[in-house]
Amino acid sequence: MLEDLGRSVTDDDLARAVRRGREGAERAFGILYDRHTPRAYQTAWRILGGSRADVEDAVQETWVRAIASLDTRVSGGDFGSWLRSIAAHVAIDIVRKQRRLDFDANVDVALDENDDAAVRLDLETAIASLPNGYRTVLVLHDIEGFTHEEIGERLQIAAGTSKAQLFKARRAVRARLSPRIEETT
Amino acid sequence: MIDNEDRPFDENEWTAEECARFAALSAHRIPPAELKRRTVRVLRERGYFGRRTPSTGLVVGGLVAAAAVFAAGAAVGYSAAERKPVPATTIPVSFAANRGAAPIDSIPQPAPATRHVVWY
Repeated sequence: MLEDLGRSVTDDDLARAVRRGREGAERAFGILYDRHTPRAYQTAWRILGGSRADVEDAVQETWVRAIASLDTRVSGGDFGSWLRSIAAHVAIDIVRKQRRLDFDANVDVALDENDDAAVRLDLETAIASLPNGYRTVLVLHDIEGFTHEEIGERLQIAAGTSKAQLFKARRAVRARLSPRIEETT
Repeated sequence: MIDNEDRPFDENEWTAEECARFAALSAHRIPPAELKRRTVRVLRERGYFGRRTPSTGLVVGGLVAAAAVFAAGAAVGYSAAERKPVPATTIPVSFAANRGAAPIDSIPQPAPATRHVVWY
């Protein structure tokens, strides 16, 4: 049935097929995976700073958690947003386990002195090059749309800390995006 | 609020140009194909796809094998039932002959009683 309907099957239909666990569940999962993994992968990629092994672990764990909690998912909601939220959670967990989140460090946001002053980093690279604490808050707030309260809850920091991190993160991104020559004049 | 007239932008907010650059960021990143196989394998190992019904070929093969075994058993049963019994008339004759011979050969006959008469 799923193969006949192809891309027109809704996410809810596919999720129900996966949840039933009978014949066709794996096929339904394959369609869901193909639809939503690229965005979840991108979310994890940004939070984890492009560490491929960590990102792949995060996406795999994201799907395991998602399939395990299909029963509690509200039917009719945006499956992709729900999955990306899980991916963000998982990625944050990975960063925290590796003790890579340091919100107290006074990180130098300037580019390395040896960098080519005329080189302007693209935004994606600039974000990836941020310290973990800055990058995580910036990605969650400015790209994934989380509030400071939500970020604070997930990162176990105060909302004010999240705001301060975002402020510094934005400044750091600007420093990376602007040519050095502008900074020095 | 701090007067930032000498600054080109409000440090706490993105400019329109910066917002446009954020909006232009790709929302997708193609994962390696191996990741899908790996994820499916893990989910299968954890039993999420473990309740699959057997394939049609396996079911048909099983039914054919069961039918063959049944047919073979039925054929053996029928052949056993159809086998003709030994004619009843022949049995008593042989038994009778044997029955007569057996006691003579195997059971010792008691000696006839002897009467001794003494005449005075």
